[in-house]
Amino acid sequence: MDNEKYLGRMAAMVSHDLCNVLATIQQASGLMGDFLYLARKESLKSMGLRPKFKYHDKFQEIIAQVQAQVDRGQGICERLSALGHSTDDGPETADVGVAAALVGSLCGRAAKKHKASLEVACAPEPLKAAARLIDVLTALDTVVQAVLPHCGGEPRALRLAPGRGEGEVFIDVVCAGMAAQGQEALAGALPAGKPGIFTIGIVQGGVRLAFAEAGR
Amino acid sequence: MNKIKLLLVDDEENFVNTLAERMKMRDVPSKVVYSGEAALDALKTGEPDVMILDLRMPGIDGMEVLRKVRQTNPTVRIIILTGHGTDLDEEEARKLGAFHYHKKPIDIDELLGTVKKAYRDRMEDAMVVAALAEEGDFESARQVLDEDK
Repeated sequence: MDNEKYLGRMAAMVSHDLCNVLATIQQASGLMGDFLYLARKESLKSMGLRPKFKYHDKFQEIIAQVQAQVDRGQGICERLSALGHSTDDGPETADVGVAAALVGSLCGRAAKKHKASLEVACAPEPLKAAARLIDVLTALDTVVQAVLPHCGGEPRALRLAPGRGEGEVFIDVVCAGMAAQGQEALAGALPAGKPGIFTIGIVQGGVRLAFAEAGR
Repeated sequence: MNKIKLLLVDDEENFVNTLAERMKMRDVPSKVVYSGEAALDALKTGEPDVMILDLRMPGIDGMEVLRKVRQTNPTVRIIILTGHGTDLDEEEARKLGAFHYHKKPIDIDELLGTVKKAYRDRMEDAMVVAALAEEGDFESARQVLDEDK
């Protein structure tokens, strides 16, 4: 088994375990909420003879915090699972819109490090590249990492915009506030494309990562 | 709704026991088993209306349980509840006849809603079959039963 597949399989397994942990935490905190509700109902029914639990509101607040973190964890878990399964054997095509959304959510922390935000434009339709999802993801991540240090303007915002051209599908990685100097520096720092899989070229304010369209 | 016979199948014991307790608080008591083998054994002693089934379990996994139950007890409604939800798994489960496919973690009321929907679906089919059989239209009754397979 090659390294890529091994890491993919491990990531998928970790995400499975993580989902089970989150599910248990969610049900346990939900059960606490259920008991809290029952206690309040009993107190109301007893016309105040049975006093209200003193920390009712605080407990409710804590349960809501736990549930919010479970929701957050679920998002991480789903992205980890998608990343893990990107190395699975399967069709040699990938939707660049799906890949952009995934990289957009996975690279949020890297963007924050550069004090930038990352936004992903919605693809208007399925945009199938003749490449494996893992190849699209790694190429896009490389481009995002190359563009981020040159992203300027205030506020700094990096936009991933999937689209379709003549016989190709692409993702533009652009920063509206990129100065001419930044554009020049970026051109000098761009990674090379991978012949037969993808090309990388400069566009206004950033980079276009293009793949041959599947079925063309 | 406490007439629903619900079977919960999951090897995550803490999770499934808590889920059962919360279902009971909502007037839906259930039976809990922790493996695919135990689920198939439980069917021999009494058929549930609805089964909530995890996919990844040691021994006989959820997909295999789904396949077997659809052959032996086709009117049982099976809801998949898994932490390992790939699109391919979902596609296969639906092809095999799963009533619904949920990913963990899930809100209890959403899950309960699916359980009630599954129960109603089973009851509606049972009523149609009974009415058709009463009219002597056994062929149509058989067709309704076959649709469950």
